[in-house]
Amino acid sequence: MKDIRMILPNPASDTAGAASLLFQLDGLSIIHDAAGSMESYITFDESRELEGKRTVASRLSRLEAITGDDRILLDKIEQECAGNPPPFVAILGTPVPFTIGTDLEGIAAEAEFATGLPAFAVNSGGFEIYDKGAGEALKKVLEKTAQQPSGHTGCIVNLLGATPMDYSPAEIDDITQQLLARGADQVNNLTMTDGMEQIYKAAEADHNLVISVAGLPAARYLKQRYDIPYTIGVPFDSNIEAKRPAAQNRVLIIGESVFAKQLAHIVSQIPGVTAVAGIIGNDDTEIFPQVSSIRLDTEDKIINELRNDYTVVAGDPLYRLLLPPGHNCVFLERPHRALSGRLYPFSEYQLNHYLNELKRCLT
Amino acid sequence: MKRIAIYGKGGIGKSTTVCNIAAAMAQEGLCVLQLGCDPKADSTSAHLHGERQTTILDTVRTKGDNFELSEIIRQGEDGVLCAECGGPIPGSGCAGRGIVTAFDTLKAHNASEVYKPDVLLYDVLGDVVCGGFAMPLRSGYARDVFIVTSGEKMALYAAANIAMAIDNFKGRNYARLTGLIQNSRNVKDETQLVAEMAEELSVPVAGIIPRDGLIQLAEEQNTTVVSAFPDSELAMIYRQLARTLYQLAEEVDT
Repeated sequence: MKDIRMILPNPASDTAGAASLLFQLDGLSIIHDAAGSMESYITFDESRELEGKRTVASRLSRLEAITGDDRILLDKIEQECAGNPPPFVAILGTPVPFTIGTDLEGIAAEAEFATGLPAFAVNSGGFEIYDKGAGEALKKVLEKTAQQPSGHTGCIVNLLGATPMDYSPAEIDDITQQLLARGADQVNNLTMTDGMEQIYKAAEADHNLVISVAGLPAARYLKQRYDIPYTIGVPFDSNIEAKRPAAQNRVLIIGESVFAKQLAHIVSQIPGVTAVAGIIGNDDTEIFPQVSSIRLDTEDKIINELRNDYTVVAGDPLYRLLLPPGHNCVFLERPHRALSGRLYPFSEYQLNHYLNELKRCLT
Repeated sequence: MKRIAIYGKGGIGKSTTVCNIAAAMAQEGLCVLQLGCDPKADSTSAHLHGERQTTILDTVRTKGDNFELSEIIRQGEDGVLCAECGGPIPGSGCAGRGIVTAFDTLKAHNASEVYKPDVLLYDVLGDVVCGGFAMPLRSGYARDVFIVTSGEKMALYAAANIAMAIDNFKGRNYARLTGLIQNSRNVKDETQLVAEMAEELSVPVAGIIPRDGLIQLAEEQNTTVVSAFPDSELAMIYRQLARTLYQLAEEVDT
């Protein structure tokens, strides 16, 4: 029963990750799932206001699933697109189509032919973590809709992998300000801003900044297709001075790979501090390979890791529940919506708040 | 590279035909990968002296992603590379979904890029009964489909059904129906019946395999006619059929 979560909720699924990434783009995102199964993807995992958005359920009936009648879904898509054509149609997989082997890409090809609109499928199935679905969705929407670059002046930077699953709107604003302060003339926040404008212009960028593991497939695509270089990281102000702590400090930062590893990397530069990134979701060897990290993909692994006498632990408030009795660590809270959904409000802090707090917690 | 799927009614002789075609192509110097898409996993045994190949699904089930391609793709003595999708635990799970998983696994391990076969032959279970068994037809897998049929009513009926499934998916850039293969059962007017079906479907009959006791003899020896009786007339027919399939099939990217 090692994989059973007795205390924590499950992190958001790949389907929810894809839905979250596409949410603000105003395309038609169809979650192809059994009627009544939208609850977890939207009600729990999606924290933004649904009104006016076109993230909908296909409301797959029992008989449609059994007979594999894709025509019903295609009719619904054509109907939905007829009056008010969206900029794209995305068909998001869930456990039912995954299990019956529905050809989502084939349906998307037919939908594209029938509506004349760009259409693609995200092969999510609910068996993977949110970042996998978000990563596929971002790459595919760019493949389908990014326009050829037409030339520009100034330095443009794209933010890749921004979703509320990992970052609050305030943090994304802060990342944007940090990049502008460091010399960017324009920062394109591709996915946490309303509409398709930034997506259409994505190939114009001079540089891509990958702020979560979900941004990597798109970064690799834009590099290969348009030769746009990319950097992985989060622009904390790493020059903040820190005094050498009196004792040896062991810091565990639990969260999304890029965020947790970036923070661990900065903190571990402080003399007397060792830092470990505890990764929730997927990881990639390209992301800060020099940083000590561990994948925490089961509740057991998190519990075991928290027994390692860390002096400081940073992560979603829910991880407090797993701390061993009589622990002595300082716990720094940063809600991770991919885990705790709407249980906690979005962080209003700037990014450096966490870095400063971490340093303050060192003993 | 040519990507060819062989469909047909259960028990019509698909695996025997595919094995002989594969062995004949290998004798001509082509690199051939034969992928058995039947949960029974007995498509390739004629290349492997009757031995059962460890299936892709069994390997994934026991080892996750930690295995080498050589553990799921074996080379027969006749040179044919052999892989079997396998299936779920009998009486449980979903066979069609198993095929999808096996295909995804081969793709994830870049099997086509590693082995660079000249021909990939998919030997598919019976009819297109569900989404999983249509997998070889999907974009990026087989490009050409040949249906093995006899002149028997049920075999022709199944062939028509498969052709209809292919036609249903024409908007999805699926594989195309390229021809029929007549595996004779000595039915009255058999050649005419199969030719009429081919005409109806607007495809040629790629070859006619006569009913011949050598097929059973070769099977008893756990090998192919092409390998066991290379000088026989039947072996020549299989070799000619292999050449025809190769010519009719479209060259596609790996």
